[in-house]
Amino acid sequence: MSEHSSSPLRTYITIWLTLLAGTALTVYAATLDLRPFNAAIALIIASTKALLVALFFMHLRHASEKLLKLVVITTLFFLLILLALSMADYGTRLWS
Amino acid sequence: MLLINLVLTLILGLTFLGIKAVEYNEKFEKHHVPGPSFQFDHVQVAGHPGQYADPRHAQIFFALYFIMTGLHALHMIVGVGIFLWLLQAAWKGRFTPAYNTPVEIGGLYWHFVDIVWIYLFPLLYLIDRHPS
Repeated sequence: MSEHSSSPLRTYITIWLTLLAGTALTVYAATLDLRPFNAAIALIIASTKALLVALFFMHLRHASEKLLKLVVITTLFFLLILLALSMADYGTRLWS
Repeated sequence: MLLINLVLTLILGLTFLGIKAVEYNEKFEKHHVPGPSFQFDHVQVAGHPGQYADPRHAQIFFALYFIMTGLHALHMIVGVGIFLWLLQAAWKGRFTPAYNTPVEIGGLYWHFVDIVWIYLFPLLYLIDRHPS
């Protein structure tokens, strides 16, 4: 690992700094009063950061195996089912 | 280099857990832990002067807060264990440029825990705290 060229290290540091900037941006966005868009903006920034971590830190960018792609897509699909069921409960609740 | 990075990871992970401990301690002192002794009366809603938070809603929030941050902290503690094991293996010189799969897999686990926190931090600490 340490014998490799410095270019992957530079990529990791760039991604890390981008993630830190994303954190600063979410903290700043939380101080603005944007009504329903506060949550949307926070989640969009979070998803962008998660994507960067998955693509670069978890090496999915250069992944070529079909099986790996299948595993990732299946995982996201099942996560979607879990979230959809939770939101179905939340959305149909009667708050009295 | 590998040893230094593993030690750094452990220090940062344990710092995170230490901050969590301080945070939990504050919640216990203020009776913000859901249960019979839960207390959230006379807490003003941020940005709405004269409006008080509903303790029942606050209790649901704190239940979610403790389950989510607690499960995340548990993942962190498991991660610290994994990295301690990696550290002793690296210390013995078991990893080479040709064989480093355990380091890679330990890193994958750590990044997964990271992604969870990327979502938990804005959801539990930032949303709805805008002033004015």
